[in-house]
Amino acid sequence: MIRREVRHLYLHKGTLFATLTFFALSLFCVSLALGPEEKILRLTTPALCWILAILTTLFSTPLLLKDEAQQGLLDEILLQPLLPAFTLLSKIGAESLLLGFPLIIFGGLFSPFFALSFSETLTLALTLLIGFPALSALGILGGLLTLNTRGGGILIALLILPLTLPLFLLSLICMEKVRLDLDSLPPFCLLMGVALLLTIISVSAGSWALRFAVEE
Amino acid sequence: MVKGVNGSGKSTFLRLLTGLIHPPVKGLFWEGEELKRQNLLLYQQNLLYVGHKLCLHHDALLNDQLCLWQGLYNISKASLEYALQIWGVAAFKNKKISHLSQGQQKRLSLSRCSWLNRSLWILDEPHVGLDLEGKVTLDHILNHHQQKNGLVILATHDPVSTSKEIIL
Repeated sequence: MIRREVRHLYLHKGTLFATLTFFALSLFCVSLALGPEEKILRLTTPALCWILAILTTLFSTPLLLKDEAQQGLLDEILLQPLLPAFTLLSKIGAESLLLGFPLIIFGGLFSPFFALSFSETLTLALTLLIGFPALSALGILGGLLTLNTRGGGILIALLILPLTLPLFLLSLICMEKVRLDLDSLPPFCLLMGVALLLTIISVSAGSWALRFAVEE
Repeated sequence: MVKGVNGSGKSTFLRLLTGLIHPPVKGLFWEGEELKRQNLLLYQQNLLYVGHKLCLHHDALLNDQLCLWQGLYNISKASLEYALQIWGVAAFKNKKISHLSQGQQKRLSLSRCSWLNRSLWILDEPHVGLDLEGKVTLDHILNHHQQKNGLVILATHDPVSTSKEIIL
């Protein structure tokens, strides 16, 4: 199922490319804007990376869903013998592979610009790896809830953006603990728990929202 | 056959029959049983629905679309290619779907009738956008399906030989 969704998502390579370019260019511009002060760079980078990851995911996933809805492909999902939740999960898997991994790789590639040590880069990559499926699930939920509304982007910012805050804050705590050489396991475990919970809630609510979205 | 003037609710009625829309008053019944969450999936495995939205990936090549169908419906490539020949779109396999004409896209979407083995077909104005040859192919396939004891529910403004009419 994930392979099918990957193939499907790959058809939207233009949107994916634009999303990744936005992420990489924004990160590059920010690195130039912050100046050469190493301390400021090291302190602000994790938050910037996360903010950009949240923005790129929450605003690109609904676009992909809108495209699918216009072509009638959401009807096809509901007429499959599988529960819609499984299709949504495979969409999250595909998005994590085609969008999540490249974002993490870009984050790693840009780490020298931000004077991040190897352990800090690794932690940042790990937090993004844990958090991205939840971000993708929230993006799908936001996309489905706002599919038939005007100005869906604003609604997503109001409805979904606050839900990403626990992921964002816990990731920053993880980074801070690693930077200060403290035990980072508890915030990591908490981050995993919150990411899992958000994914489960988003997928369950998303399957429900999907039924309402196609009724319009 | 479902008949009615524009805006009378034919498409909504057909979507209700597919289970995509929840019935507002009374439930949906199939073979004497009310369709609920548990048996809706089973019912939907018996039906083929082609609506106004053609369920095609506009950014895909026709070949890519075939691969996606193969994965989704577990169908052999030979069956798909045979169906494309019947519908006269086999020559466009390396063309982008968005580059096909409206009629060719409709033929491609309707080719499901030829490769998807389902007993109940729900078709929303399938003749719209088809040329004369396409309409003949469609009528032939509809007749063939009915001869095999298949059930077809279609909304159309074209004259079709039918056993029952529902006027909305």
